[in-house]
Amino acid sequence: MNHETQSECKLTTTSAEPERTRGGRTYVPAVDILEQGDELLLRADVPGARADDIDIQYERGTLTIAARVAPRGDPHRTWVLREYGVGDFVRTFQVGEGIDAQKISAEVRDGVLTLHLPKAESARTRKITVRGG
Amino acid sequence: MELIPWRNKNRTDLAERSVAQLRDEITSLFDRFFGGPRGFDLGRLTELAPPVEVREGEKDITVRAELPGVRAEDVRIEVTGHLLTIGGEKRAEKDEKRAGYRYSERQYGAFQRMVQLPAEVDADRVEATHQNGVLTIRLPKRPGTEARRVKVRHA
Repeated sequence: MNHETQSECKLTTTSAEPERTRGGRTYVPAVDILEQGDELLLRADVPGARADDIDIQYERGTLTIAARVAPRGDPHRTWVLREYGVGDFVRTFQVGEGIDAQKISAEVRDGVLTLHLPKAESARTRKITVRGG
Repeated sequence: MELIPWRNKNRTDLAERSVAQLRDEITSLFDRFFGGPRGFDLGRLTELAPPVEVREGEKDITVRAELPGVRAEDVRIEVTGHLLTIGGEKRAEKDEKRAGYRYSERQYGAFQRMVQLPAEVDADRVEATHQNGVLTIRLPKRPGTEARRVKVRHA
Protein backbone atom coordinates (compact mmCIF):
# COMPACT_ATOMS: atom_id res chain seq x y z
CA MET A 1 0.00 0.00 0.00
CA ASN A 2 2.74 2.36 1.01
CA HIS A 3 4.72 1.42 -2.05
CA GLU A 4 1.87 2.22 -4.36
CA THR A 5 1.44 5.61 -2.79
CA GLN A 6 5.11 6.38 -3.26
CA SER A 7 5.35 5.49 -6.93
CA GLU A 8 2.18 7.44 -7.55
CA CYS A 9 3.72 10.44 -5.84
CA LYS A 10 6.87 10.28 -7.86
CA LEU A 11 5.05 10.12 -11.14
CA THR A 12 2.98 13.11 -10.21
CA THR A 13 5.88 15.22 -9.08
CA THR A 14 7.46 15.26 -12.49
CA SER A 15 4.33 15.53 -14.62
CA ALA A 16 2.51 18.08 -12.51
CA GLU A 17 1.78 21.21 -14.49
CA PRO A 18 0.53 23.94 -12.23
CA GLU A 19 -1.27 26.83 -13.80
CA ARG A 20 0.63 30.04 -14.36
CA THR A 21 -1.28 32.57 -12.34
CA ARG A 22 0.77 35.68 -12.93
CA GLY A 23 2.70 34.76 -16.00
CA GLY A 24 5.85 34.01 -14.02
CA ARG A 25 7.29 30.56 -13.42
CA THR A 26 5.69 28.37 -10.81
CA TYR A 27 7.47 25.67 -8.88
CA VAL A 28 6.40 22.41 -7.32
CA PRO A 29 7.39 22.50 -3.65
CA ALA A 30 9.15 19.52 -2.08
CA VAL A 31 6.84 17.82 0.40
CA ASP A 32 6.85 15.26 3.19
CA ILE A 33 3.73 13.36 4.12
CA LEU A 34 3.68 11.69 7.48
CA GLU A 35 1.24 10.03 9.76
CA GLN A 36 1.06 11.01 13.37
CA GLY A 37 -1.61 9.69 15.67
CA ASP A 38 -5.00 10.80 14.49
CA GLU A 39 -3.78 13.00 11.65
CA LEU A 40 -1.71 13.16 8.53
CA LEU A 41 0.90 15.91 8.36
CA LEU A 42 1.84 17.49 5.06
CA ARG A 43 4.99 19.59 5.06
CA ALA A 44 5.97 21.73 2.09
CA ASP A 45 9.05 23.90 1.54
CA VAL A 46 7.80 27.31 0.43
CA PRO A 47 10.77 29.65 1.07
CA GLY A 48 9.91 33.32 0.74
CA ALA A 49 6.17 32.91 1.34
CA ARG A 50 4.47 34.60 4.28
CA ALA A 51 1.28 33.32 5.91
CA ASP A 52 -0.81 35.88 4.02
CA ASP A 53 0.62 34.70 0.71
CA ILE A 54 -0.54 31.12 1.11
CA ASP A 55 -3.82 29.91 -0.26
CA ILE A 56 -5.14 26.45 0.57
CA GLN A 57 -8.20 25.10 -1.19
CA TYR A 58 -10.09 21.90 -0.82
CA GLU A 59 -12.71 20.87 -3.31
CA ARG A 60 -14.20 17.45 -3.92
CA GLY A 61 -11.23 15.44 -2.79
CA THR A 62 -8.61 17.72 -4.30
CA LEU A 63 -6.37 19.78 -2.06
CA THR A 64 -4.41 22.62 -3.64
CA ILE A 65 -1.69 24.58 -1.92
CA ALA A 66 -0.56 27.78 -3.61
CA ALA A 67 2.05 30.14 -2.19
CA ARG A 68 2.76 33.47 -3.80
CA VAL A 69 6.37 34.50 -3.64
CA ALA A 70 7.28 38.10 -4.34
CA PRO A 71 10.38 38.73 -6.45
CA ARG A 72 13.37 39.60 -4.30
CA GLY A 73 14.61 42.57 -6.22
CA ASP A 74 17.86 44.40 -5.72
CA PRO A 75 17.92 47.47 -7.91
CA HIS A 76 21.20 48.52 -9.44
CA ARG A 77 22.80 45.16 -8.91
CA THR A 78 23.85 42.73 -11.56
CA TRP A 79 23.68 38.94 -11.48
CA VAL A 80 26.87 37.10 -10.72
CA LEU A 81 25.38 33.70 -9.97
CA ARG A 82 21.83 32.44 -10.17
CA GLU A 83 21.34 28.82 -9.21
CA TYR A 84 17.62 28.85 -8.52
CA GLY A 85 14.59 30.66 -9.77
CA VAL A 86 12.08 32.54 -7.69
CA GLY A 87 8.37 32.08 -8.31
CA ASP A 88 5.11 30.87 -6.85
CA PHE A 89 4.72 27.38 -5.45
CA VAL A 90 1.72 25.29 -6.47
CA ARG A 91 0.94 21.65 -5.82
CA THR A 92 -2.20 19.57 -5.84
CA PHE A 93 -3.02 16.45 -3.86
CA GLN A 94 -5.77 13.95 -3.88
CA VAL A 95 -7.31 13.44 -0.47
CA GLY A 96 -8.94 10.11 0.36
CA GLU A 97 -12.24 9.73 2.10
CA GLY A 98 -10.58 8.98 5.40
CA ILE A 99 -9.72 12.65 5.93
CA ASP A 100 -12.02 15.08 7.65
CA ALA A 101 -11.62 17.94 5.17
CA GLN A 102 -13.60 20.39 7.30
CA LYS A 103 -10.92 20.26 9.97
CA ILE A 104 -7.81 20.77 7.86
CA SER A 105 -5.61 23.45 9.44
CA ALA A 106 -2.27 24.99 8.48
CA GLU A 107 0.63 27.04 9.76
CA VAL A 108 3.85 28.38 8.25
CA ARG A 109 7.21 28.88 9.87
CA ASP A 110 10.64 29.65 8.43
CA GLY A 111 9.35 28.96 4.93
CA VAL A 112 7.87 25.57 5.78
CA LEU A 113 4.12 25.09 5.44
CA THR A 114 2.58 22.45 7.70
CA LEU A 115 -0.91 21.13 7.05
CA HIS A 116 -2.77 19.07 9.62
CA LEU A 117 -5.23 16.66 8.05
CA PRO A 118 -7.25 14.97 10.78
CA LYS A 119 -8.44 11.45 10.10
CA ALA A 120 -12.17 11.03 9.84
CA GLU A 121 -13.84 9.36 12.78
CA SER A 122 -14.30 6.17 10.74
CA ALA A 123 -10.60 5.95 9.84
CA ARG A 124 -9.20 6.31 13.33
CA THR A 125 -7.60 3.45 15.10
CA ARG A 126 -9.71 2.52 18.03
CA LYS A 127 -8.54 0.71 21.09
CA ILE A 128 -11.09 -1.79 22.22
CA THR A 129 -10.89 -2.94 25.75
CA VAL A 130 -11.45 -6.59 26.26
CA ARG A 131 -13.28 -7.26 29.41
CA GLY A 132 -12.85 -10.43 31.33
CA GLY A 133 -15.99 -12.18 32.34
CA MET B 1 -7.22 6.73 3.81
CA GLU B 2 -4.83 8.16 1.25
CA LEU B 3 -3.17 11.42 0.42
CA ILE B 4 -1.83 11.25 -3.08
CA PRO B 5 -0.30 14.05 -5.12
CA TRP B 6 -2.64 14.74 -7.97
CA ARG B 7 -2.30 13.58 -11.54
CA ASN B 8 -3.49 15.62 -14.42
CA LYS B 9 -6.61 13.72 -15.42
CA ASN B 10 -7.24 15.82 -18.48
CA ARG B 11 -4.11 14.65 -20.20
CA THR B 12 -5.49 11.37 -21.46
CA ASP B 13 -3.68 11.30 -24.76
CA LEU B 14 -1.00 8.68 -24.34
CA ALA B 15 1.44 10.03 -26.89
CA GLU B 16 1.17 13.50 -25.47
CA ARG B 17 1.72 12.15 -22.00
CA SER B 18 4.84 10.21 -22.88
CA VAL B 19 6.31 13.23 -24.62
CA ALA B 20 5.61 15.34 -21.56
CA GLN B 21 7.07 12.65 -19.35
CA LEU B 22 10.23 12.44 -21.41
CA ARG B 23 10.57 16.21 -21.33
CA ASP B 24 10.13 16.21 -17.57
CA GLU B 25 12.68 13.45 -17.17
CA ILE B 26 15.21 15.36 -19.24
CA THR B 27 14.47 18.52 -17.27
CA SER B 28 14.93 16.72 -13.99
CA LEU B 29 18.18 15.19 -15.26
CA PHE B 30 19.45 18.65 -16.16
CA ASP B 31 18.29 20.03 -12.84
CA ARG B 32 20.09 17.31 -10.97
CA PHE B 33 23.24 17.81 -12.99
CA PHE B 34 23.31 21.57 -12.62
CA GLY B 35 22.35 21.69 -9.00
CA GLY B 36 18.58 21.67 -9.14
CA PRO B 37 16.21 24.59 -9.23
CA ARG B 38 14.62 23.78 -5.88
CA GLY B 39 15.77 22.68 -2.49
CA PHE B 40 19.07 21.13 -1.67
CA ASP B 41 21.56 19.66 -4.04
CA LEU B 42 22.13 16.00 -3.42
CA GLY B 43 24.81 15.80 -6.06
CA ARG B 44 27.50 16.91 -3.66
CA LEU B 45 29.02 14.09 -1.74
CA THR B 46 29.25 14.55 1.99
CA GLU B 47 26.87 17.34 2.85
CA LEU B 48 23.86 19.12 1.50
CA ALA B 49 24.77 22.29 -0.36
CA PRO B 50 21.99 24.81 -0.87
CA PRO B 51 21.87 26.64 -4.20
CA VAL B 52 22.66 30.35 -3.99
CA GLU B 53 22.21 33.54 -5.91
CA VAL B 54 24.83 36.30 -5.98
CA ARG B 55 24.29 39.87 -7.11
CA GLU B 56 26.82 42.63 -7.29
CA GLY B 57 26.17 46.34 -6.83
CA GLU B 58 28.47 49.29 -6.95
CA LYS B 59 29.07 49.24 -3.20
CA ASP B 60 28.05 45.78 -2.04
CA ILE B 61 27.41 42.15 -2.88
CA THR B 62 24.18 40.33 -2.03
CA VAL B 63 24.13 36.57 -1.52
CA ARG B 64 20.87 34.71 -1.02
CA ALA B 65 20.07 31.10 -0.22
CA GLU B 66 16.74 29.40 0.31
CA LEU B 67 16.91 27.54 3.60
CA PRO B 68 13.35 26.52 4.43
CA GLY B 69 13.01 24.99 7.88
CA VAL B 70 16.43 26.20 9.02
CA ARG B 71 16.37 28.40 12.11
CA ALA B 72 18.40 31.62 12.16
CA GLU B 73 20.45 30.37 15.13
CA ASP B 74 21.45 27.26 13.17
CA VAL B 75 23.12 29.23 10.36
CA ARG B 76 26.86 29.93 10.44
CA ILE B 77 28.44 32.47 8.12
CA GLU B 78 32.17 32.99 7.60
CA VAL B 79 34.11 35.32 5.34
CA THR B 80 37.74 34.69 4.53
CA GLY B 81 39.19 36.91 1.81
CA HIS B 82 37.14 36.29 -1.32
CA LEU B 83 35.47 33.23 0.12
CA LEU B 84 32.07 33.16 1.82
CA THR B 85 31.04 30.02 3.67
CA ILE B 86 27.43 29.34 4.63
CA GLY B 87 27.00 26.38 6.91
CA GLY B 88 24.56 25.00 9.40
CA GLU B 89 22.04 22.37 10.09
CA LYS B 90 18.53 21.73 8.99
CA ARG B 91 16.94 19.94 11.89
CA ALA B 92 13.97 17.67 11.63
CA GLU B 93 10.81 19.06 13.21
CA LYS B 94 10.26 17.86 16.76
CA ASP B 95 7.37 15.55 16.01
CA GLU B 96 9.20 13.84 13.17
CA LYS B 97 10.80 11.16 15.24
CA ARG B 98 7.52 9.80 16.44
CA ALA B 99 5.66 10.15 13.19
CA GLY B 100 5.55 7.56 10.44
CA TYR B 101 6.74 8.74 7.05
CA ARG B 102 4.54 7.92 4.12
CA TYR B 103 6.32 10.01 1.54
CA SER B 104 9.45 12.11 1.77
CA GLU B 105 11.15 14.58 -0.56
CA ARG B 106 12.58 17.12 1.87
CA GLN B 107 16.14 16.83 3.18
CA TYR B 108 17.58 17.21 6.64
CA GLY B 109 21.02 17.41 8.14
CA ALA B 110 24.17 19.48 8.02
CA PHE B 111 24.79 21.69 5.02
CA GLN B 112 27.68 23.76 3.78
CA ARG B 113 28.17 25.97 0.80
CA MET B 114 31.15 28.02 -0.28
CA VAL B 115 30.81 30.99 -2.58
CA GLN B 116 33.60 32.79 -4.40
CA LEU B 117 32.93 36.50 -4.03
CA PRO B 118 33.46 38.75 -7.05
CA ALA B 119 35.22 41.46 -4.99
CA GLU B 120 36.97 42.03 -1.72
CA VAL B 121 34.57 42.75 1.14
CA ASP B 122 34.71 44.33 4.56
CA ALA B 123 34.18 41.26 6.73
CA ASP B 124 33.40 43.37 9.81
CA ARG B 125 30.38 44.96 8.22
CA VAL B 126 28.69 41.89 6.76
CA GLU B 127 25.00 41.66 7.69
CA ALA B 128 22.71 38.68 7.43
CA THR B 129 18.96 38.22 7.85
CA HIS B 130 16.87 35.07 7.71
CA GLN B 131 13.23 35.63 6.88
CA ASN B 132 10.56 33.16 5.77
CA GLY B 133 13.25 30.60 5.05
CA VAL B 134 15.32 32.91 2.85
CA LEU B 135 18.81 33.88 3.99
CA THR B 136 20.08 37.24 2.74
CA ILE B 137 23.69 38.27 3.27
CA ARG B 138 24.87 41.78 2.44
CA LEU B 139 28.60 42.20 2.09
CA PRO B 140 29.88 45.76 1.71
CA LYS B 141 32.82 46.00 -0.66
CA ARG B 142 36.08 47.21 0.74
CA PRO B 143 36.49 50.82 -0.36
CA GLY B 144 39.16 51.36 -2.95
CA THR B 145 38.82 47.90 -4.46
CA GLU B 146 35.99 48.70 -6.86
CA ALA B 147 36.68 48.22 -10.50
CA ARG B 148 37.90 51.47 -12.05
CA ARG B 149 37.10 52.58 -15.52
CA VAL B 150 40.18 53.56 -17.45
CA LYS B 151 39.82 56.10 -20.17
CA VAL B 152 41.82 55.47 -23.29
CA ARG B 153 43.13 58.66 -24.75
CA HIS B 154 44.02 59.34 -28.30
CA ALA B 155 47.74 59.44 -28.70
